[in-house]
Amino acid sequence: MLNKLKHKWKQILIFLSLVGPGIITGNVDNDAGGIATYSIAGAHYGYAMLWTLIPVTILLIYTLNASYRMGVATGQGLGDLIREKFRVKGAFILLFLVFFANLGTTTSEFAGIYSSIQIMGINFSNDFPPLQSKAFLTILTYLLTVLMAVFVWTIVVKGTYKMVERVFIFSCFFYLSYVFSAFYAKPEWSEVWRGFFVPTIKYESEYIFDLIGVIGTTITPWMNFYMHATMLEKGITAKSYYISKWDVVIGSIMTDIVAFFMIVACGATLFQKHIRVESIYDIGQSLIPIAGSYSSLLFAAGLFNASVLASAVLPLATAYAICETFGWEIGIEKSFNEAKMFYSIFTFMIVIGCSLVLIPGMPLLFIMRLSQVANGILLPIFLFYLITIASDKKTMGEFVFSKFEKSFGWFSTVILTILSVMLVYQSLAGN
Amino acid sequence: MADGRTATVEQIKKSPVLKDFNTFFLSEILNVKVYDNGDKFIGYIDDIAIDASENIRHPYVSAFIVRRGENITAYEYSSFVEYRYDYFELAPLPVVLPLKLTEEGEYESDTEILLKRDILDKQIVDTSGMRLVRVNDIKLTFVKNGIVTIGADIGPTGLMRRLSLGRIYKAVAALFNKKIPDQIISWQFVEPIGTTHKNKIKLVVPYAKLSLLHPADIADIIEELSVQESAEILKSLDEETAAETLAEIEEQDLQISLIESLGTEKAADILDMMPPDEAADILGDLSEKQAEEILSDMNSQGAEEVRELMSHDEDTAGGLMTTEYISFPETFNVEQALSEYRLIAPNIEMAYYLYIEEKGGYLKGVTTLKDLVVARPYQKLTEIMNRKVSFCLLNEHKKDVAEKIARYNLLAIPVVDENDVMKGIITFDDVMDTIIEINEELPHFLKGSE
Repeated sequence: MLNKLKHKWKQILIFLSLVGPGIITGNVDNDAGGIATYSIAGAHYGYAMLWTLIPVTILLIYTLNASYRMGVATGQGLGDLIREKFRVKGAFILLFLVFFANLGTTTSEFAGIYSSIQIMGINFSNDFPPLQSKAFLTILTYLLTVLMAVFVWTIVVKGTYKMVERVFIFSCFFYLSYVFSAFYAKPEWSEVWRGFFVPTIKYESEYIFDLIGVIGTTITPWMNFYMHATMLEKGITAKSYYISKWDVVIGSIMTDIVAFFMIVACGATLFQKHIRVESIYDIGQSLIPIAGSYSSLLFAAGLFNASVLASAVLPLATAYAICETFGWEIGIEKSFNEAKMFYSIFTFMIVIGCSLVLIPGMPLLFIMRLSQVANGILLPIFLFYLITIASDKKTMGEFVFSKFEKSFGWFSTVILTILSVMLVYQSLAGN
Repeated sequence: MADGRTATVEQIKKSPVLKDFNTFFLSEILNVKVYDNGDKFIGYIDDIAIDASENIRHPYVSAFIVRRGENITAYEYSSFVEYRYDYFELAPLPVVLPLKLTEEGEYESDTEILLKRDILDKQIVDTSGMRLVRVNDIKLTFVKNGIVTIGADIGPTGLMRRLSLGRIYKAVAALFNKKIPDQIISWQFVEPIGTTHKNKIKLVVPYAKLSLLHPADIADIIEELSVQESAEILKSLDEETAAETLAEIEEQDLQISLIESLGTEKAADILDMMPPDEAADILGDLSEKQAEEILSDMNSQGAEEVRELMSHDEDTAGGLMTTEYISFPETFNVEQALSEYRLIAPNIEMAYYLYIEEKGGYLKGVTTLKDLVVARPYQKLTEIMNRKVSFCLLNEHKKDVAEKIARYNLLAIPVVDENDVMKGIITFDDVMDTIIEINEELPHFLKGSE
């Protein structure tokens, strides 16, 4: 009996270990910044920004596929390839930018952790009166946020992170609540589809800000690094590429289906009721159609889950990428003295990320959005690196980009650059 | 002589020779302007080739690759005239080089390494520190009859120099009264790896320096490389070293991926060299089809033993044991045993316990190498042996086996079948893993690390 149970358990574990890098990455992608950005897009513009998900999904598949192919063709890490192709200076510029973008995103994850703890506290204040005292609630939230930072640091250092990752990935059922909420809210479906298929562009700096945010939160350099590392670890080779490339496609589409329903749920609730989202708390109301008075609790739980997972992944992926590029020792199985830089980088990111959100009066929602916009502005630069490597016949061999793939990449890079320039120009002119 | 450029050349020529100019870094010489002996500008230094055909500690520079626009040309070392700060003079001699220009516009040769293309910014194995590092720069020096490579710079100074911040970095360090030594790995300990480059280095003795390391160290390095790179290294090692290295790899997933990417034939050769219990462990994790393919390629006797071991459940004594142990018939005397021992012991991992078997393979007693050596040559083995042998049964659970070994402080424990016929032994190191496994109670891949 016990043996049989053990056997079943083993089977489940094997199945879990086969969940592809693409699907895992897709799930981690919907982090605190993602939830904030998609929700705001729905709350501010209703369904008008839905159409962007189509090109964004295509570009997401395109970039992840490029990273995937690089891994298959060379068996080398992304940091490796960037260093060998762009040498020290080129690699330094990119990794420098990626570091700050990721530090911003890590901060946004801690903003998510902080906010979700706060919302939960408010929710439980009826059952537990001390929570009604604002000072007590704040102190408790502070303590728990710091505790979570310690927890995240510990699971990374102890190497139990992989196990935790699986647990968290499977609590992504939270995203389903958006799907249900979108349906329960009974949106005008014809309008939803029009928003999805008919592009609308507004020349306002806030619209462009949110547009870049949506792009930036969906397609990030860190995901590419993360997925690349995951796939190499799973030992995916040229033979299995033709099957496993679908894993990227499925993962990307799954990510954006969640994004779609988040926008619809927020559009059908917040936008319809003209609720101006001023804080993270307001976003929780988009779940009222499904959870009623429990909506904010459900929202907080989901936000918490997504933020904790990503707050472990981001510092780890960043430390990994930087150390790989500059040839410093990597790995949690090494001691601090052996892998000084590796430990320093991710500890620094967790400490700074956590500390920033604890500064009183920090605009948490804005941090979440801004970090995604920063990723969006970084994206064309990252694409430049990615396309250059993927188009290099010597490195890629048979997996080299076709002419069409190359042109598509450069075209996207140009469009994204124009958007970024427009944003910078408008925000300068606006002031 | 009237145009501006020549004037600059003359200015440079008048400039004093820099103090520390006997040694220089690759990053400093790359892109330096090259002039011929008539002071005519002919291009920029694009790369430097070294002759790696002979296994000497510090190979000589054999050629300079000069780039002008799209064109690259290799000049033999003998055409070198002078190198000063930002000035490089070559006498463009007609030369015979081992370097051949390929259709893709790259130089290729079986004996030469191009320092920038093949080494700079790549990962190398530092065989003195037994670790994987990245080359930030390469240090070279003038000697009486040429330029030799001193070593690879893997430290922060090299990195800063590449970022054009070398002087600032040193100045800041001086400010804090800190001397930052260059971290140079002597070329004799530099082992390039890499499978990406199409014209990858196909030298006469690939990975020669790596094969001098202990297999456990090679395994450590391999664990940090990708499967493709690791397979490349394993293939280059001799089968015995490869087998020991494979056995030393702790990540089971990696062992399996490696076996898969080695190809059936090579995998069979390597597994032949492994102790049968370890071979059985690895094969047991492959698909049945793959395992069968490899088994049929292995030599028949070894394959038979491995098959036998594979038929036992992994968690039982039968699955843990190895069939390689030393046993003598009970009729032997000490002298006979010793001469037999000399013949068989070299190939056997656990050669301290000597088992005495009755006709039919029944386990009768045990003695140790020490007892054998101190006994008198004509004594019968049955006189010196210990009859109270602790043993375990084929289907005994590994936890129980571990407990027995720990309780009786044994180096190994014999395994017998239900008829008391000896089948193999389990050494304490195999059980050490079990004890750790018991403690952690987690499947291995769950404890994976990033």
